[in-house]
Amino acid sequence: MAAVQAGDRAALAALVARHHSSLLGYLYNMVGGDRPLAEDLVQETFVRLLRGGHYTVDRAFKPWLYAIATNLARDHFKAAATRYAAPGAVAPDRPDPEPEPEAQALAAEQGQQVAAALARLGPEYRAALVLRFYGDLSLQEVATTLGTPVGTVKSRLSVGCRRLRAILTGAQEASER
Amino acid sequence: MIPRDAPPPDPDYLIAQLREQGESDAALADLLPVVMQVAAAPRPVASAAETTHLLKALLPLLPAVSPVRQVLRHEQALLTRFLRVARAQVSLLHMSFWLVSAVITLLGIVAGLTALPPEFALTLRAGGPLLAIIAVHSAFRGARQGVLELELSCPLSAFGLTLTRLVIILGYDVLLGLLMSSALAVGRVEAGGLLALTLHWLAPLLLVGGAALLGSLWVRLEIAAGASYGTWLLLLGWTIVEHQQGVVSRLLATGEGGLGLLGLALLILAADRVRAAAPALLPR
Repeated sequence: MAAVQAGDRAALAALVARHHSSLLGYLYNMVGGDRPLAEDLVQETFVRLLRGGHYTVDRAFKPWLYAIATNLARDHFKAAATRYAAPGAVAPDRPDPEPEPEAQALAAEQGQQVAAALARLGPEYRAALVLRFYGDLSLQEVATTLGTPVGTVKSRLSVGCRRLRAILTGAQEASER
Repeated sequence: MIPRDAPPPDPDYLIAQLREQGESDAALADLLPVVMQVAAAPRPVASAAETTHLLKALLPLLPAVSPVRQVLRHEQALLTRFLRVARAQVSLLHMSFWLVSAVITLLGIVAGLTALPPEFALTLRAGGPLLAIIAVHSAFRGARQGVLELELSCPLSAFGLTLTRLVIILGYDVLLGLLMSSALAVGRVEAGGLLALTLHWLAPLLLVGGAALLGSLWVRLEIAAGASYGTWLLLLGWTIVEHQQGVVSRLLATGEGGLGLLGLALLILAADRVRAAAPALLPR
């Protein structure tokens, strides 16, 4: 990353080649299986990476990269909620908000039950679960990425697992009926 | 690109992960299928074309490096490469080269401090080229011994190798010579100062060294070196015969700087000719 900050093109090519697919996978599952949206967010993540310039070599790179991606996904859903919410409407509290119908339909159409189920989780639980079990980050790396203590990450993982289980079980029962 | 299936997740690994987050044994059975599905979720793969497209969009955002910084980096890289090559080339020189050159310099200092004025300059003019002959012979002795093939197979050009070796051997000789000049300038104030003392040995060193190296492209190095140094000694002998009054003596007294420049030109010409002559020097 230091070489990229110094303007090294080869270093940028190596960096993109190394993280492109994994970042795409993470965002793909963060946005409910919407691949075009995930690709846009991947590009925006790298753009922020290059424009930000706050990175220092003593920081772990991967959590930093995924933190940018997580924030972008979070911002996207906030903006989408603002667009669709009626003026003065109160955002739904727990349990987690329903995903956008469009995203839900797309995810269902693609047969990606897990992505659709993840999309029904709150972003903080979804990010923790995807980073931990899909991205295989350590608890400390997840904590660094999300900017929260490790204890909070454990709590979100525990709650997230149970909520996801409830969603998947509900979906299975609905399909059986 | 179609999302590819994830490799089957390892249940033991996932159980360990669940335990790490504080799950009880009773909860593991319920939660394991859930996290297994997350771990096995579709993994979209970015195609090479997509990565290229992304890279193309990002390149304009890369911080521009100023031309000055680029030049500095390039020069740093050149210097680093030269030092690496020089280190390898130094290892090719026998210990005898370093020692004999140092001994000759030491003898030159002793002779210079004890000789009378006319012979004093003569001593330096005879000793300087001897250093050059030893150096050229030590560094380029392999030119006709079948090792050139190996040298030409290395990434550096024959021209680069020649220049590197010249810098090493001439650098060492000049360092020794400057020590000698400094010692004599302190010990013999009447000798004419550091510059004059340095010219006495440096000019013939470059001239004879350049002539020997250039000649070695056509005849054996030993013959070229012997002929160059022998001719130089004959000229010095002639100055003794004409009692420092003839044309040669006047040339040496007034044109040492020019002789040195001529020697430098011969060295550069020889290094350049190595590039063209290298194939002819390969073993047949």
